[in-house]
Amino acid sequence: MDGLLKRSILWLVPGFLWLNPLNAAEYEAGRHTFVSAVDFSLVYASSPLESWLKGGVGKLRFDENDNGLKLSRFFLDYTGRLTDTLNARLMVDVNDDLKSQVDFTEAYLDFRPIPKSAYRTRWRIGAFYPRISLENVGPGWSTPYTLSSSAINTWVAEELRTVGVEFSVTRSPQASASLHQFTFEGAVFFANDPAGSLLAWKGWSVHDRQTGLRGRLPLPPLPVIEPGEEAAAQAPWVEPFHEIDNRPGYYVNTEWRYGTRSRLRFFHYDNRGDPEALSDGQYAWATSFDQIGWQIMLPGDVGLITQWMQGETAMGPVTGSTHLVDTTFESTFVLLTRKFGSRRISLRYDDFELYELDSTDDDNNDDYGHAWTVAYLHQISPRLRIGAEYMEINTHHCGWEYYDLPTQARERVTQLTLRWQFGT
Amino acid sequence: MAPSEHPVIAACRQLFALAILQVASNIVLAAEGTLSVKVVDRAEQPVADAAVFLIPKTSLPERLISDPLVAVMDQIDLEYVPHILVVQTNTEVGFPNSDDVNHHVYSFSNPNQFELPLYKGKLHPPVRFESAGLVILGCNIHDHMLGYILVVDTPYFGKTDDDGGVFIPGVLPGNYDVVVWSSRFRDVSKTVRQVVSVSDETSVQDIAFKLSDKLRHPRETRSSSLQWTDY
Repeated sequence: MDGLLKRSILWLVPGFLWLNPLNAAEYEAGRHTFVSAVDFSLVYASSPLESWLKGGVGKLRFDENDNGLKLSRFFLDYTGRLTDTLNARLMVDVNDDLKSQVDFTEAYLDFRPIPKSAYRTRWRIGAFYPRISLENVGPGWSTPYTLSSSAINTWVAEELRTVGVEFSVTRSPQASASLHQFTFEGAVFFANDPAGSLLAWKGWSVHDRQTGLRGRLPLPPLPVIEPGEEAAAQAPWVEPFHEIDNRPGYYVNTEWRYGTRSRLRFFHYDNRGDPEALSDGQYAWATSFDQIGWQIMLPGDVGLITQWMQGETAMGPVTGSTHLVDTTFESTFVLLTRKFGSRRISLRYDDFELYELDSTDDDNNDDYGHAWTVAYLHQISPRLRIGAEYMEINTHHCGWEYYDLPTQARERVTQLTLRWQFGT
Repeated sequence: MAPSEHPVIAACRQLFALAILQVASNIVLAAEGTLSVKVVDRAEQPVADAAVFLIPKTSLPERLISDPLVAVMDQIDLEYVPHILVVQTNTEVGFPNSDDVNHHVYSFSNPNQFELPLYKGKLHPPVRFESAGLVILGCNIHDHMLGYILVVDTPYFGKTDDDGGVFIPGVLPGNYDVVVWSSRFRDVSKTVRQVVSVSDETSVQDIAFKLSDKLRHPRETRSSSLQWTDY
């Protein structure tokens, strides 16, 4: 009964918005801006593995047991104008899986003083995505290019969030009407200590699911976290947004933008986690990485987006020359996209790897492979968008031998999604 | 009480007064010239959307009829339309916001700094620009938006079309600086000028400008395949 009641409440919000005949523009009223959307998806997955979301080891969000029609996502992206220069931003995300709890993915204040010179400053305070992704630039942190995010940005959605303060200064082109624009951004944050757990223990994935701020993600039945084993204190799940070691992390981001031709970003992240810190079944992982993102217009109005990320994540007591779990990870993707009026076609190639540096028994973290994604999107009307995507991910994951599974798998998913959006 | 006029006589009197006025105004108009200005770059390609205006060397007489000076700088599809607007000093510029979203226009260009929230459902007052100069517009909500208002202290101004040409009619005889400004100048605070002498014959004078400095590329329409600002 409790589950049924929760589900009813859960679908009340999207149901209301769906049946509400009010024009989206009426929500504007100047002070409140709502953008919300419901995704109806027809999913056909082909995989020998059970999805990680069910406690399995498969990389996909949906496995063969999920094939069929589903309401795969609802989100609400709210901007409230508190003053002329201060906005409140809230993002609510609902996924039809796990415990289907309604959760915030972002909640923050956005302060934008009116520029008095060529230098424009901005502040964000609260919980929000760092500006890593060049794909997820739409409302609700959606991507306009495909249905699923790249491996890099899928991991950002799974385990990364800034809970803290970010300052940004941009030398805007207004002063000299120059096409060159430079931005420097820096942030100090807490509550991202477990970031890296899911990456090291599940490996890289490609999907469109975002973890809410109270989110809890299942881990596979890893031998190393079994009772009596070396990481037995780890709960069989990850809650990525917790402060474990009372040490803030930081990141810096610089961007050079040239008109609407090119955008280049350098990002360095370090959550300064204390790998030996532990609280309530969650370890702090010392996670740091560098990231380069580049977006450029090619001839023929073809867009290219590429990101490269390389880093290290480690947790647990020092054993030998490393921590209990210590891995390096790297991923790259290249996305080509072309818009034809209201239609779009995109092609993406992802390459990912994660290699362990530790020599802990029964915990081989090596995970490497690649993925191909091809997507076709059609904005049928201002509110309706239909998307078709085929994604295949080929993984070698050595740790699957612990479950008597082959260490290599090819998983595919074909998805047809109708998005019904309200607001702009 | 005077006897009332016969209606026919009253009509004739009014017509006669109108005729006198028409002739008088024609006497003044007969001595106005027209300038046909053509602007090209150093590769002889036409420069469109260049502002052209005349600064008189001697002060202009008062206008016979003072028009209310109003102009419009709209926001359509997250862009300023027109991209470049040329207005005379003391013009009131309206910002109607034809989009479905809020905008927040601002400029820090001295001495015409201003900011104007354009929230849906609220009335937006026009902005009067009292000083001559270039006003570069931004939007605090949509970072890519860029527009220009060039405020000039003369009633004689125009903007070149796609062929790089513009007509400036009704110019009273005298000596003028013909000034050209383009958003494609590498330094947008600079202008290019020539001296012209407008005769008291009704005629069209051709003025040609060849901009010798290298110009920026013409403004591209926003590329459609990629998004450049985050939601």
